[in-house]
Amino acid sequence: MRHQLAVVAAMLLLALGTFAFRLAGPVLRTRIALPARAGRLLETGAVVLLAGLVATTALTTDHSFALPGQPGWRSAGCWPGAGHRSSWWCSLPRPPRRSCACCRCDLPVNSPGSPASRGTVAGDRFRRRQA
Amino acid sequence: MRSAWRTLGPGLSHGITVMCVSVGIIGVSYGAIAVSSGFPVWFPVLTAVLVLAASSEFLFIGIIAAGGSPAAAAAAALLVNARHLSYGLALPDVIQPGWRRVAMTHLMNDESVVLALAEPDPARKRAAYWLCGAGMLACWPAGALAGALLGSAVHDTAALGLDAMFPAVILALILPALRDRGTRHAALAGAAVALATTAFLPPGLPELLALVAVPLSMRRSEA
Repeated sequence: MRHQLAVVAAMLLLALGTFAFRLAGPVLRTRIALPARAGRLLETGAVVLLAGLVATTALTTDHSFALPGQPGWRSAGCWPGAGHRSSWWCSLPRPPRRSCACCRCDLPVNSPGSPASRGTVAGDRFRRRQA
Repeated sequence: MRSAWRTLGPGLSHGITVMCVSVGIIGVSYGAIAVSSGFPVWFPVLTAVLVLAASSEFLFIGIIAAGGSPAAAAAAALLVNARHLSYGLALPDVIQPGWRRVAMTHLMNDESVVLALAEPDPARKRAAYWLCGAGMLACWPAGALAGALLGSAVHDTAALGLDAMFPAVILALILPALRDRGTRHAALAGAAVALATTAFLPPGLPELLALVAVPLSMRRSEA
């Protein structure tokens, strides 16, 4: 029960913090008058952020940069799944596998943070960092 | 709301609908994952409404499910959401002062920002942002609720490959902005920086680090 309360409190903290991040931009813009060029630069900044987000969500799973089986590659019709080693070439059916609950890119079971990663180097490093 | 639809025309409204539906489907997998990790049904739904930022919520739930502390999960998820600060800086004519600001601010997310940036004039920017954001606020929690109720039945929604839609949709939407040479160079360099650093940085930081490439656009446009 206490743990549940802590989780809810952490979620509320996350919601508040996220709202603060969202609010900070518009508030700063109304306080400070910016030259047009700086405004353009900020807009470029948002595009660059989104490009970085596209690159990382399409071409990496979680924190590891391993090419086969990522969403972007899969959408190109190649590389059936990061979790198994057999086939590299296109259009093979992907074997069913448990997906990890870590983030939106569906992770192989042995990714850092998933319970099944106990005993793997990346998983243990992740847990050490958490502890 | 109706006038906003009319401002946008059929093409963009269609785009918003597609985006909301795909976010709703990702929400189904989010709800299913949360419930199968031991969270009660209401938790992913409430989080979806209050936080309204998909990737950070996946991370939050994932860290807690893996046995991490709630504080660590909140910190990591907040880091992922730090990018909203620069989104807000980039959209001065969308979020105006006044009572609507709170609602407009809460609706700021990757999808609504990218749609607003793609529009040329302020009225269309505002309409796109407002409609897309409202659609997200409806579809994301609704998807999460559906997924939570269906539970483990659709646990493996990842097999459908819907996760591949997110980067594809965002990329399609920033393409017009990439027509400008300076922006294109900056975006490519930023993506490269994010990719290169993603192996050894916690999630959220690589994307923020991509911002070091922004000055590239300035140098190119001057040249």
